[in-house]
Amino acid sequence: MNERVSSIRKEVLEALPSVDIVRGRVYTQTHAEQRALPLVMRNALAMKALYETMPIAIHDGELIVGAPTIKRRAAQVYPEVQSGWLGGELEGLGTREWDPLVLSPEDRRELEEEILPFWRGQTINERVYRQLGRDTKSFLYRDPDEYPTKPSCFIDNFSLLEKGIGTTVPNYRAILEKGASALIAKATNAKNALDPTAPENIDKIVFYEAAETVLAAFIRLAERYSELADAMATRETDPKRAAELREIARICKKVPAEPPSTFQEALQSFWFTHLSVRVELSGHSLSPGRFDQYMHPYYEMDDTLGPDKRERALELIELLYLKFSELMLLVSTPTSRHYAGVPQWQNLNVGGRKEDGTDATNDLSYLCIEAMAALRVQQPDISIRVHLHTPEKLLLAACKLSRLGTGHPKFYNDELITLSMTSRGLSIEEARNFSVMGCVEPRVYGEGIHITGGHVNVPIALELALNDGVLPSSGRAIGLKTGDPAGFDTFEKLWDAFRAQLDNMVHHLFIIDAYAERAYVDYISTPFLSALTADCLSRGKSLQQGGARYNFGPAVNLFGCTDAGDSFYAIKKVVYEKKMMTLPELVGILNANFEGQEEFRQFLLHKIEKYGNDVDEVDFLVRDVAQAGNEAIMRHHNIFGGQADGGIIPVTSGIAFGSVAGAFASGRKKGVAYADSVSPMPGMDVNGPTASLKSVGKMDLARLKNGTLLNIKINPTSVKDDAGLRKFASLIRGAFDAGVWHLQANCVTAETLRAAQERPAEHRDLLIRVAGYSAYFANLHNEVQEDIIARTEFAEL
Amino acid sequence: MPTDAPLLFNIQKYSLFDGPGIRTVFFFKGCPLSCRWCSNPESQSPAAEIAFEERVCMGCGRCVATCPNEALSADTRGISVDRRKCTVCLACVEGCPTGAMLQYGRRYEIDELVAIAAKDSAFYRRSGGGVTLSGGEPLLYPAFAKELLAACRDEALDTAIETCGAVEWNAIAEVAPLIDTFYFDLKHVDDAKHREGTRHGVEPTLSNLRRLATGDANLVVRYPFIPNFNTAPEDVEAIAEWVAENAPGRRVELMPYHRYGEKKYATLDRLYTMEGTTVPSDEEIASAVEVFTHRGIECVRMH
Repeated sequence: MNERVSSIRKEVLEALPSVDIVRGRVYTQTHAEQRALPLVMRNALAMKALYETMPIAIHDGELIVGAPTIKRRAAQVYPEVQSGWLGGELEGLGTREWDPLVLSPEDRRELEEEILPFWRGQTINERVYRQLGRDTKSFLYRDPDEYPTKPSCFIDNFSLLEKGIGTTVPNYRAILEKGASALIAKATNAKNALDPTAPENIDKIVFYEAAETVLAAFIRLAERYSELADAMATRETDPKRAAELREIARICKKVPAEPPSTFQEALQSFWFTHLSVRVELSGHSLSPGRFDQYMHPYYEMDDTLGPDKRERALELIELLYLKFSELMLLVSTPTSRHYAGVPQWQNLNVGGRKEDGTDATNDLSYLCIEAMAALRVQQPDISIRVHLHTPEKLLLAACKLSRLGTGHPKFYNDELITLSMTSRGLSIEEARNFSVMGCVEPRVYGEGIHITGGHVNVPIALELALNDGVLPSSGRAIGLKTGDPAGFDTFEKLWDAFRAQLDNMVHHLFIIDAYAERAYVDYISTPFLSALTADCLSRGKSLQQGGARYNFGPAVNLFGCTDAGDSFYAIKKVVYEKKMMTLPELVGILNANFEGQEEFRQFLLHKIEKYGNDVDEVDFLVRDVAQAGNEAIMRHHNIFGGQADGGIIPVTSGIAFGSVAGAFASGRKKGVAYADSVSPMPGMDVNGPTASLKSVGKMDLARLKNGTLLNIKINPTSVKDDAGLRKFASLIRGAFDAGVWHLQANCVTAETLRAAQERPAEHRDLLIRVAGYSAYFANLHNEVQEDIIARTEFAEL
Repeated sequence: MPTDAPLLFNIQKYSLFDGPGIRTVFFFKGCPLSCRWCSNPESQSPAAEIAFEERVCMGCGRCVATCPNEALSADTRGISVDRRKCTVCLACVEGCPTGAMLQYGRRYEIDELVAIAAKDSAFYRRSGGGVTLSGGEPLLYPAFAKELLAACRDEALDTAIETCGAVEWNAIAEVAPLIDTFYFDLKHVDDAKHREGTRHGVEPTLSNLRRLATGDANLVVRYPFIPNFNTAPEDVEAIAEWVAENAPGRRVELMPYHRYGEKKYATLDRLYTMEGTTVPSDEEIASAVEVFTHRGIECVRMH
């Protein structure tokens, strides 16, 4: 990191996060003025008005320019999706404990009095609330009679209902390879070829006009940066900086209108595209995808960077990463609490395979990793796709980045995900060319917005099965009447009751999803993203009209599979095999939250085997639970006919969903957070990472097509040298051989070790590895623990 | 089960420093030596033992109540075991809900062990790892060790052994053809000092090591670096000189003294006589390594 990069990094990280209402104001004004026009055109005109008028800046030292807001780390407002909840969040926004956002009193007044009221009654959530039946509402809302609604955390899809969308990998190549001018020409030609007397053509004509409008606005924004850079160059006293500004002016005049011919031009074109999709979409997980692949030609062909090409390219990538870091999201207070630091899941992939199956690693793959190792910032999320022929050198570079403890990179099982993608009916070539979006979700080239289908709280189905459809915590009868558990004289009968309850929950979720998707296509329209996505322009349809080549989803998340599977296993052992008690007796103990039964609870926790230790019988039960949910999901489809898919990605819900569930036979007490994603229950994987990785791999993860997330802990001292790094790399490869979809390694921190010192029973999984020695951290003498903590603190520096 | 079927006190997966790659280590119970610094005191007796892990105890007292021999009593530091009364019937271990009462020492069938070892094949394949026999002293049970090693080899698993060498030569000769890497401890070369630290003479360790080194076994010498025992400059010199002369060309791994085992002594109601010993400094270790390197011996510091 050179001086330029380091000073910009400092400015970005020190910028006080704030709210910028300009977008909200301009979108609202345009929509008010253009009520006569269809939604897609209103949105296109709103973007045009915004891009013509929004204040812009080029900050000191910048080479890659452009931002959605004039201040760094300012969150834009998206009233079209946020108006349902944003009003209630404004109070205390600047003082909340996590990620406070500065909002001036005048701006707040404008939001409350002018912007938000305009959209009232026109959001997905408001419509769906009016339309759903009583049964479904009882599952979705904490209090079905109260609006604004609160989540029940049994099933939910508040991401779609309230937060809008973002979850996509834009087709940056469309702009890079042809330039925005060529796309405008394509839209114009297609429009001119249509007969305007045919009513069925009108929607298409409108879409083409909207595409022309947004693409022209997109070019206009770049021109404004070009003009600004020129003006700044004339005033600049430092001749070196003046030359840089003139170069920026030249580049912004050329891209994104025309295809780039240098690396810097390509990065600038990429960035204008990324920020414009960001301006259009409101949510997180807007992901660059296979950046090292589509950017490589421009690096390769660039002969302007001179003999220091590699270093100069590295500087430019670092500067681009800082642009990602400048972006901010306006999230609700509960979300900010679960996700301190505002993660945005802008997933940048490196490595993997080409369409022909050969290794795709190139110079940029390494530079992308190096840039993050130097910067150590949160965004973008760096990820590496690992397959049989991934060079060991690339994997070790990624392991070194992992050792820094920033959470980067995420490792993906390229072969398993490719297999999973082919099960969507894609060709092998398309499947190999997947991009990873957000956390772990694979997306295919030409895919539209893969809408979120919400979450299912899986253990609730077990609770309902054990209580004949009544939720013991509230006494609410929301489930099916599957019978008195006294009648479940075999394990299979209990299992069947569980499946019936789970199917019913998924059924209600898809009622919500169906209404929400129907409302979504009425309220949301994304002309800019549509213009980029294959085949929207050739079909003359926006994404919301089904223009994309592929429409998969909705993607539904299953939560609590580990807890439910471990509980089934415990019930099987205690009730059906050891016959220690009857099922109703066990239910009584659970419904009393183990009151007076702490010894029994400890027995359940420590003497009944748990998922995560490579024990087939319990591991397969966790798998069966997840796949039961997954199969129920896959029976459904989206508004364009594509198949729904399941995944296990925690987001915030492990905590929230666990908080509404009663005590479980796994030994988990009422209200405790669920195990993280596909991880074992905390501290219960007592046989080390190889055993827990194998347990995870048994879940048949290729069928959970939207992906599964796994965090593992590594001790920084075990990867301190090259030999340790190589073993870590083999652990990753071995995990992928065993069938793990994704993993992310978090170095064990001194803080974790301190917690283990205080509560050893909860941290039986922390390992200490020394030759010829056998024990866990929890078993060490206090002073020795102190010594290890001190060394860990040292390794963290 | 073979007649000399030994007890194992632990099977540890994802071991990183007991041979190449990622390994599964079988810890055998029973050792001819009684090293003062031993970090696995539960490995020394060949018999099963019970231990009490205070940190996970919930204080329910069920162990005291279930013991048929009245060998357990509750006191301020948790549970005390009267080892004279305890018959290791394991009633307390079974009754304990939290796993605070532990059993050290369990018998396994060879097939069972091979099945456990084979579970991590994916990780061995990727890392060049495999199975390591450790202890205790696995070569106290040569027939069992041989059969286990042969079965592991049959599964195409890499094999290693960690031995103190204080066994009959025949035990070593029996298993040698089945072992990919030998880790052979050399704690001292001076008989009196060796006795003082391990309660055992330096023979047959020296003669066994010398003999093994003359053959083609893949042999690594391990030098536990123990303060007040073998870290004085003259000790280091003597050991390096012995290696140069008797095991030329063999790699030496220096294993600095650590206190990770200290806590275990109390769980077994035993006294840790090294209490208060400070771990060797980086400088001390580096200069010892240098003594070996200077003599042309490859020497690396472990952990």
